[in-house]
Amino acid sequence: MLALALSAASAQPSVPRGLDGKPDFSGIWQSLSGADYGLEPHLATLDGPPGAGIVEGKAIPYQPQALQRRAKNFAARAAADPRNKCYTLGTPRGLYSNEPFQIFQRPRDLTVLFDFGHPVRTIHTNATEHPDGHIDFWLGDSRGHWEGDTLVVDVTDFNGETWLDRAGNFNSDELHLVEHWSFVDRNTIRYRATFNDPKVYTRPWTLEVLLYRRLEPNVQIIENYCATLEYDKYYPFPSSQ
Amino acid sequence: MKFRQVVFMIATAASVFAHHSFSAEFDANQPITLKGTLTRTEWSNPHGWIYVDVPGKDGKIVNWAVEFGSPNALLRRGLRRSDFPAGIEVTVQGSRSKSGSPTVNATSVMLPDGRSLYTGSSNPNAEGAEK
Repeated sequence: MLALALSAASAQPSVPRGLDGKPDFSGIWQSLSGADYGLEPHLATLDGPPGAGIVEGKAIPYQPQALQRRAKNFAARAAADPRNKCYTLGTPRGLYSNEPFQIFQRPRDLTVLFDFGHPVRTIHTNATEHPDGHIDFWLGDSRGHWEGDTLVVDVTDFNGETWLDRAGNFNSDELHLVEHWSFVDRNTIRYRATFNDPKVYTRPWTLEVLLYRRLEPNVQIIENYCATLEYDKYYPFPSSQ
Repeated sequence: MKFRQVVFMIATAASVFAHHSFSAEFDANQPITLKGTLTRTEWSNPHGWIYVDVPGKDGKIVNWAVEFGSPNALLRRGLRRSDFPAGIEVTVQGSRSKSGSPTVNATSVMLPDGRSLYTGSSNPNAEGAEK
C-alpha cells in the first residue's frame, strides 16, 4: 500500500510551487511553434516559414463572411497586420509569437510582461468577477481559478482590434476565451485556449502550444515599443554612451 | 524646427490614446453642443470615446471625436457601451479642443430615449466631472 502511494506520488512531475502550494509559472517563456506565421497548417510564403499548425482539427471554423475577411486580411497583411502597425499583439497572440514573455506569480494574481509594445497583462486569481458592462481592452479582462494543478483563465472584454497571427486570422470584441495552463515538466507549460466568438466562428475551437522556459543566463524581457522607432532619428543616442 | 515637428507628430499620433490634463488639450471657454449620428465607440481606458457625424454650416459632414471619462466612471454614471450602438442620434455638450480639430471633451450626452447623463469629464469644473 505504501509502495503504491509512493509510486503514484513519483509519477507526478516535480514542478515549482508557490507558498500556497499551487504550481508557480514564474519565469521567462517562449513558444517555438512558429504559430504567429499561421495558426492553421500552411506552406511557406515569402514572408514566413511553413508550419504544421496548432489548431485542433486543423481549420478554424469561420462563418462564411468571416472567412472572406480572413482572406482579405491575408492579402493585405503587410500593411493591415496590427503587428506591423506596432499595435499590441493581444491575447493570446503575445503568448505564441516569436518573442519571450515573463510571468510573475503570487496567490492573488499573475502578471505577464511582453517585449512587443511592452504591455502588462494581469490574470486575477482572487475569485473576482469580470467588471460590469463591456469594456474594450487590448488584452481582454482575465479572471483565473485553479482546477487541481491547472490554471483555468476566463478572458472577455476584448476590443476586436487585434489579429491572432500574421496570416489574418482574427476574432471580434465578442470573443470569450478560456485558457488552460498546466506544467508538462518544470521547464514546459502546456497552453490550451478555447475560442468562442458567435460573431466570427460557427462553433468553439481550440489551439494548443507548448511554452518553453528560456534558460540562457542573460535572458530578459527587453521593451520593444516599435511605435517609437520612427522618432528615434529625432533623439540621437549620444555616441559617447 | 525639428523639435516642433516631433511635438506635432507625437501629438497627432498619440492623441487618441493619451491620458492628459483637461486644460492641456481642451478650452473650458469654448463650450459646444453637437447633434449628430453616432458612427463608432471606443469603450477603453483611460478615456472612452464616441465618434459623431455632424453636418456643418456648409452642409459637409464632419466626424467629431468626443472624449468621455473612463469606462468605470461612465458605468457609475449609468452609461454602458451597449447604450451606444452605431447609427443612433446623440446630443453632446462639452468643450472644444484648443487645436481647432473636431475634438470635444464631453460633459454630458443625451440619448435617443431622452436620458441625459454626465460623461465623467476630466474638466475639474464641469458638472459630473471625474473626481
